[in-house]
Amino acid sequence: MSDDRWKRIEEVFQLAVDLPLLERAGFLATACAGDEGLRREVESLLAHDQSDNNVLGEAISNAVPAEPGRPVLAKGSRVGPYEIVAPLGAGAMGEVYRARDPRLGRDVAIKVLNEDAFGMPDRRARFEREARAAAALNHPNIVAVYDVGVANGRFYIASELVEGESLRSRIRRGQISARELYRIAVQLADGLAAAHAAGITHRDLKPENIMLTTEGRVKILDFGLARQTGVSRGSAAAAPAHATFTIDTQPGTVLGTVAYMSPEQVRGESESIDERSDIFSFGVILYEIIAGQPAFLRRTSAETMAAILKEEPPPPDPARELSPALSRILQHCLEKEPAARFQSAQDLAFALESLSGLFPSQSKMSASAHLGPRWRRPLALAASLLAAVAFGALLHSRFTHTSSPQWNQLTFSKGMISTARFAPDGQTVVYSAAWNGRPFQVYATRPESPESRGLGQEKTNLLAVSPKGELAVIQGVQVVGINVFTGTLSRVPLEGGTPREIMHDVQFADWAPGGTTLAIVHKVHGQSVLEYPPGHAIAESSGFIAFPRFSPSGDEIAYFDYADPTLDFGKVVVARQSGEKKVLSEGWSDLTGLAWASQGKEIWFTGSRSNGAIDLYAVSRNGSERSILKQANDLQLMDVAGDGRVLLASTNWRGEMYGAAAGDSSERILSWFDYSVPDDISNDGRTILFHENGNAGGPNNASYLRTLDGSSPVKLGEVVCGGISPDQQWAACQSQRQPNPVVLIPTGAGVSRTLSKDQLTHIVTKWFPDGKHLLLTASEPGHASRLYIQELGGQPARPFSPDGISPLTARVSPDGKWVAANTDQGKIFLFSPEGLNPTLVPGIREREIVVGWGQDSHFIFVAALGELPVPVFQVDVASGKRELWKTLSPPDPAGVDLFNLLFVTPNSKAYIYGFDRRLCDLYVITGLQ
Amino acid sequence: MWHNTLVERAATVTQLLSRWSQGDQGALEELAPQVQQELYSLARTYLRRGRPNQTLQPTALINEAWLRLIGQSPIVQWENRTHFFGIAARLMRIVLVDRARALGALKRRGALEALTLEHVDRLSPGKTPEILEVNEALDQLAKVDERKAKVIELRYFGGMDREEIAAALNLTLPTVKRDLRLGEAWLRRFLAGQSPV
Repeated sequence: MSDDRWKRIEEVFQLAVDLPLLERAGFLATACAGDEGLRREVESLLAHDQSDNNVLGEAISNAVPAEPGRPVLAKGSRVGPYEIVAPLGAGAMGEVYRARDPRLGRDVAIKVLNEDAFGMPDRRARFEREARAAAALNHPNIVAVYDVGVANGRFYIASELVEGESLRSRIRRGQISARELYRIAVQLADGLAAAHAAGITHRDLKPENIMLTTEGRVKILDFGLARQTGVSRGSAAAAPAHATFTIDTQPGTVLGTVAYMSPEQVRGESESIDERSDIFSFGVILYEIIAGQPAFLRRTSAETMAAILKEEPPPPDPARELSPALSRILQHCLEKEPAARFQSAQDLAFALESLSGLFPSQSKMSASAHLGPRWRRPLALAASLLAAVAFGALLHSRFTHTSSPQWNQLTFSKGMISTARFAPDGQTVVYSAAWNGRPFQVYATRPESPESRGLGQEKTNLLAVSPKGELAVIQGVQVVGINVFTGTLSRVPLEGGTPREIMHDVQFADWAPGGTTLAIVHKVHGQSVLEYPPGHAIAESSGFIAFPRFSPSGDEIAYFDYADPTLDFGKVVVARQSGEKKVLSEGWSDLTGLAWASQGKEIWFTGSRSNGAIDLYAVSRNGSERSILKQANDLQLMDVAGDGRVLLASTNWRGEMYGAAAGDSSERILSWFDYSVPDDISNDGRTILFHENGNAGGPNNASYLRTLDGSSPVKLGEVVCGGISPDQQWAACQSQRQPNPVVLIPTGAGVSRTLSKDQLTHIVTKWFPDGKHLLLTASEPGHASRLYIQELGGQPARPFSPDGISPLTARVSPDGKWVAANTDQGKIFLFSPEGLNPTLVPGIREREIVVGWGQDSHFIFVAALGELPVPVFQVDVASGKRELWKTLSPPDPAGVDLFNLLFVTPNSKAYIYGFDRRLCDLYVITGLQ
Repeated sequence: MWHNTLVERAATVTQLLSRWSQGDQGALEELAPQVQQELYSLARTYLRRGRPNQTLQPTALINEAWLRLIGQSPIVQWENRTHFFGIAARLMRIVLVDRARALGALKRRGALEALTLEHVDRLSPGKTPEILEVNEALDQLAKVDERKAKVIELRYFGGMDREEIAAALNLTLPTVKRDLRLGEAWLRRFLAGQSPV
């Protein structure tokens, strides 16, 4: 282009640009005077004038690496769909923020990486591919990655927000007990094993990347990310040309990372780095927990790398004798050659877990601790001693200062234990258990013998033992909840004899200290009422009252009050006979047992905060709480003796799920993690909705969708979803926390919709067959749970049933005209959303609930859940005529406590059900404080 | 050792700046790698701030660059500081472009691929060009109108405002405004993939 031509273009452009838009065309026509090329040139420049997008500035700022170590995003700014709430920290890889996901109303952690995404399409693609692989990891010991993306030219990762501290901070804080070390090591290995099984290596494992939650859960951060970020340690030795841009120059950062490198990483053999490299890093971390510093850390990173390559680690603490088991595990992790290490994290986890079997009995540990050979004793010798050594003593000199409670196992059968008490002699333990799938029965045992002696009839459950040796039991028990039974209250001497009936339909009782009168809990008009003496109400609850226990002086009763059982949060309350009450502690879930301790100064109880593990806590009369005992298994406190011995069940508690698809000859195991609860099955029987209510589900539970054909579940979110839409595109869900509006979550790609907030406490939400209306089971102030219909995008929800609908029973007929549901009196009614009168379904037996509808909307499926086996009937809703459809029983009935829920499709070809399996071992523990 | 390196490098930088101020354009190319860390640090501070409406903090960047690069060194006598404005902008450009190249983005793509969030989320079809494309567009603009390219370089890589550019290049303020307006339109058109008619 000639200068003249350009001058002419500029001239016309500068004149045109000052004109109003409407006048430009006319001006150009005149000014260009037939020079069509000139006109088009100026027009196209004008089209790019004053464009809103500041592409130049953005391009430049995108090319600028972010300042490391300094959070730069302000509160309220957005990263992708997320709103920044507050900075959480910054490190070599980027900045971390707490952010809000407005779509799901949850807080997440956002890590914005320093490495800019701009100009690197290949890297970006790889980052996304691998980050998405990490996002597919779903394991309780791996921080869940929700989302990855690029915002403002930088990669970001949205992940689960973990409340707690890093292992780094924990190590700094001081000694880690043997028990805690064990918990950390096993969970770490489990998390690694899960990731490795999915083909993902970490490559940057270090205490900074390991979080310990307030519930004691280990969470590994940043899986699968180190490789993409350019701070990969594999590149440190043979640094690529751009290493100066990506390796953080903050002092100490690189050095800190180097200390956890494997030899192959130090050598820069990035091609040969596999999961065994993570195992080496694991060993360095385990070593650091024991020794207080990483095995190979030296003054400079060059020296550190040299040590990793050449040196044998010194004993973690020269003054201490390490057990052969731990020596062996450490040594096996820290081998220079990958081929000489544990070949998988699975093997490592197994080695660690093999120690845990011996863990509870600390008396054995201290005896064998002295046998521990020195660090570096030959493997073969160490291995032969492995079985004899328990983990608690592994770190002999460091950990034996702490008090070591003695565990003495009392029961060895497979099944569950409902209640246990010390008998008046202080040695005999009386308990009721359902062993090997048989009904509950009362037994007595003594610590010196593995045998137990049956004390009487089946279907009998222990409630309390009086100081005179008289038992309060309930007979003909019906399971109404976890460790909650209803039956006839009777008293029977410990040495045997005929039970004497006292009262029907009782749930709990405890002897007053004199041993002559009882406090009882029973249901009166739907309310749970605590009475002492019977007939005189002290406390009542619209939910339920559980585990009443008299104080040693007898003037107070402590109990749990689940005011709203659907939300599963309970309080610890102390009441006097006058009715005066004091709430000592609240916000607990899974309260499993309670006893007075320390001569009545404290109440000890087992429960969990925010759906975590069930541990042993104490609360004093002024409400101050402390943690007494945490264990890998869930705990159930049974009794505390006057001398401080504690009777406690350690429970492996699982929720299992089975089902069958059309054409199946046998049932499929559908359980996913530790506590899977079915929520819905699509009418075609192909897709099921369930939630994880246990440790894996996290504090808010998590819902999943899976197909019956066995494909991997898809996580919908940390909510509980009750219904799949007819087109299977949406799940209707709600949070477990208040307020809990209904959220519609797409089953595939898409954005969640939160329905407008209302006054309702939502319990479960299902769909009407038209896909336009929702069936809500919900409660609101002044009303117990009832049924509502909600038009999507329409008027507020409208109730169409009386109060007192039993939660989780409502089922919509295939024609959408009726909702069958149980009332809290146990009857089944059909309710009409169109306002027709409710109709009682005749012929329904005790404890039967609705579990589905037949195709023609003429019959329903009913089942008496609770005890095995479970017969399922088709009942004609008009005549009550019934026909047995199927009898359900899980293959192994041991420990099967509660048949939770059952869903049958209208064509009766497919069904799913869930039950609770608790396998308990009873222990007497001395030395707990 | 570290101390010596710093001292040596400061001397090198000073020397190169001195050569450049005497008209040796090649000195600048040699200077860039010497000062890239400082410039990154500056860029982080100034270019990232106040997003998304990205114009650089006027003078602050340059002043800081001046202090960092030259310090209190009396060795180089400058006719006026505007010399240095030019250096900083050009250096920043060189450094950022070099870096982008080093990061493997040499491959020139026919269609610009936006790497912004908007693209990822498909919320908007807007796209952001890469620094290398901006660089190339500026080179092309310089062939058509060198002064406009210079004005834009000072504006975007040097973080200078219109008055400062006017002073640095000895232009009137309206000229700078007009140069920016047409130059930017030209660049946007180029970056949008529409070649000049």
